[in-house]
Amino acid sequence: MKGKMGVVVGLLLVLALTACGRYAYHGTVLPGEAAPDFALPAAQGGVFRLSEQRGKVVLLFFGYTHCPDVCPTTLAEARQVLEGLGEDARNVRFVFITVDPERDTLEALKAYTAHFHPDILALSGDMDHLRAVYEAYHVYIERVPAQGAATDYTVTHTARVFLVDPQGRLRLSYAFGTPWQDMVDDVRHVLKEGR
Amino acid sequence: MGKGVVWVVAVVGVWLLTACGAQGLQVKDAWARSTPPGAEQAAVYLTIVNATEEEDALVGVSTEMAAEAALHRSVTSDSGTMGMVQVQQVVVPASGTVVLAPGGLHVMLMGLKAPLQAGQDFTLTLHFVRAGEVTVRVEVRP
Repeated sequence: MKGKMGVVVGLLLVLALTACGRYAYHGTVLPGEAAPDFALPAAQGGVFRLSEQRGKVVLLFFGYTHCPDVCPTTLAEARQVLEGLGEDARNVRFVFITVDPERDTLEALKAYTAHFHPDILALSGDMDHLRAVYEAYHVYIERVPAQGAATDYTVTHTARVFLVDPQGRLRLSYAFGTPWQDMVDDVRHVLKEGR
Repeated sequence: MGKGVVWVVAVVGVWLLTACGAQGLQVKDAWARSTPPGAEQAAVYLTIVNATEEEDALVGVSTEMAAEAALHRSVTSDSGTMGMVQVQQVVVPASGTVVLAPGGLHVMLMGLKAPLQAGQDFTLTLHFVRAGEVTVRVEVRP
């Protein structure tokens, strides 16, 4: 009788541990391979090299400053994520890479991202370097002529946010419109795991 | 007794007028995000409530804040890319509601005359086929 009880308690404990141990990510889980390295000039000064960010979570988003809907919405969300992380934000880099280097000068990028949060980094570069980064991250970009007279063209682009973990692995991606709280939860979990 | 009847008629009358006033087509919760310095574009979001029995359509927008205003939709492809297309009209079904929200339908302002600053508001006029011109205040949020 006592033995049976022990087995039941044991099974329950195992069940409880398994249930607690498994964290379900909100983002789309990627294979976790090494995130392709790149080095691009930052609007905030210096060169940003991905491989130098070990120990930090890097969130990557590709966009452009002439984008009125999707990019401001995502950057406003980035602000909520950085604010929501509190102290943990020190170990997180939110990086905005332009898909429109022709119009996005480093100065324009700096003013643009600073409007949302001073810690958001904005990167540009020459088209060859940028194109290699787009390809490495499977970011699709297409320039579309605008119908109106007040703007020349818009850029159709991949609007997902990519998460690189503190070990430099490409771990998760997020669809446009993912609630910021979900990203905060995932980032916290990835940071904890890396410790 | 006579006084009582007058009161009832007055109360019912006021109630009827109020009820009728809530009908028709209404545009509410119009807002835009504040823009970074030097920004040339912005998006306006709002909700259209059509309380009539007739379908209506939003066919144009205008504002003093920008050189040009148009109806746009952000479209997501299966592969996760997002782009924008201009739309000629937004149909508002009879007794229906249409929401213009981030990542979907929006009023695109091009050639902003000044940055939109949080706390400000500005006027936007919407042109409907049936309801005609509807003017709303757009609240600028951070």
